[in-house]
Amino acid sequence: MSPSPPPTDDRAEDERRLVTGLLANDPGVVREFLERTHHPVWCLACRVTRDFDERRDFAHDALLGVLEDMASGRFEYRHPGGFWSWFRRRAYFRLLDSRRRARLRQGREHTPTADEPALEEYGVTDTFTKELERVELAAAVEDCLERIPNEMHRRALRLLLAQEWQYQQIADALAAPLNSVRVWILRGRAAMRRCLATRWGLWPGGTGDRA
Amino acid sequence: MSDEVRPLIDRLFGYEELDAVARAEADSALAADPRMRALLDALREREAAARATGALPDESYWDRLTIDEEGSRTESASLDALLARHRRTSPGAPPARVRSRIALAWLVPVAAAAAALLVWPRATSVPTLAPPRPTPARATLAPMPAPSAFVIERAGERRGTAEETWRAGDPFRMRFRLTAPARPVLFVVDGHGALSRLHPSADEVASLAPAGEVELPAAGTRERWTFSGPPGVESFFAVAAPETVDVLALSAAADSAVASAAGRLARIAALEEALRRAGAGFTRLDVTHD
Repeated sequence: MSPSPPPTDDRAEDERRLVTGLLANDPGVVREFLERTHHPVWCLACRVTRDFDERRDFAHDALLGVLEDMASGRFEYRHPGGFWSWFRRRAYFRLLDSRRRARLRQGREHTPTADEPALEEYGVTDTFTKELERVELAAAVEDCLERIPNEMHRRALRLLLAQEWQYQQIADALAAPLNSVRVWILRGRAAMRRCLATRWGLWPGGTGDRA
Repeated sequence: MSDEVRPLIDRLFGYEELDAVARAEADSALAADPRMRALLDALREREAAARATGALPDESYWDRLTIDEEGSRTESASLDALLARHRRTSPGAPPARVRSRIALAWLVPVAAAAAALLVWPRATSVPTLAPPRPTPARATLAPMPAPSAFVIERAGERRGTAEETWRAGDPFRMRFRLTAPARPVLFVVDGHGALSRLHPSADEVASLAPAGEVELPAAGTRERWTFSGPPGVESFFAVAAPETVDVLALSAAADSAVASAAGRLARIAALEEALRRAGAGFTRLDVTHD
């Protein structure tokens, strides 16, 4: 699951096979994927809640959500290690976002407690409360990204932001000239930021002014 | 926000993609407008914070991840439930609810139904008592009527046919008639087959409109649409979405369907199929622009 150490040929082939099977919704491969990835996601779920039903729901939502992401074209395979790198961030975000949404549905704000989960193993050096704030920001960015009306603007910007591809890689993947990709990303970013500025109430004067 | 200001704001929002000359101009504009600079800085700061979320550990850490005793004890139950949940939602999955078998019994002769009911308690673990049937049609809501009188107009000048040729930069608006209350949506597929949603825009709510004429952009707003991009045919779709349909979900389904098709015509067909599946009525208008 890690790009480090560099994937061997076997690991790369295994990843490619897995991605191909998931995109084709091959039942055997989907089952294998769920069996292989349940444990770390479950461990994270156990960190963030003590309730079994919530642990199960958060873990399931994260993993089935990743499958939905793949079915809807939110992941594009480019290089060995790329899938697992994307998965590690995506599953993590989806699980914490499920928890955030559940608390919102219950009408409960997150209140820091003395026994907040520690997330050092997940690359988090700040408090859990801070991490949830960042997840909330990430959910807003994702929502505004999905609302970009033009498909090519959205796809190009998603590859840049969510998968951190270079411009030339994006141009290759979308079979488009580099300059077109630059324009798509510029327009996509402008549309996304208009949406974010409205959502976060950042327009000067706080009027919610928007284009 | 006026029409004059919007292009400037879009350039500033796309700052990271500007070339050296345009970036120097943007820097001057930002230096002269502290509020805009503060807005851009705030956006960047929050976007950076959003990117700083963690990730699941690498594989090498997996075995060392610790969970409480309760978590260890219940992990396999969660995995079993996950696999079962996935089986239920997969295409071709067997019926998940016993209730559907009971409903089946109503459709066969009485004797067969009685026999089926007699063996049913022991039959719950076998696939089915009858040959597979196609999934029954959803409680069929009648699809929305397609919008009528779909036309494109230049400002003040009615063109009204698909044969008119337009030039890049020409402003236009569109009109169509809803014959029943619906959520009006406007899609366009450009000459390369890329799908966009013109209405509602990213930050608008898809409100329910009464039966009658719809004008887009709505009269009285400062929004303005113009043709741009490479010459070719643009296919506009005036859509009447049912009240119960979430327009964002409809857009996502349309995106997904279009993305999986190759070639412009196939993408248009995929869009039409996605709209039909959602029970939406639609009318297409092809417009050529130079």
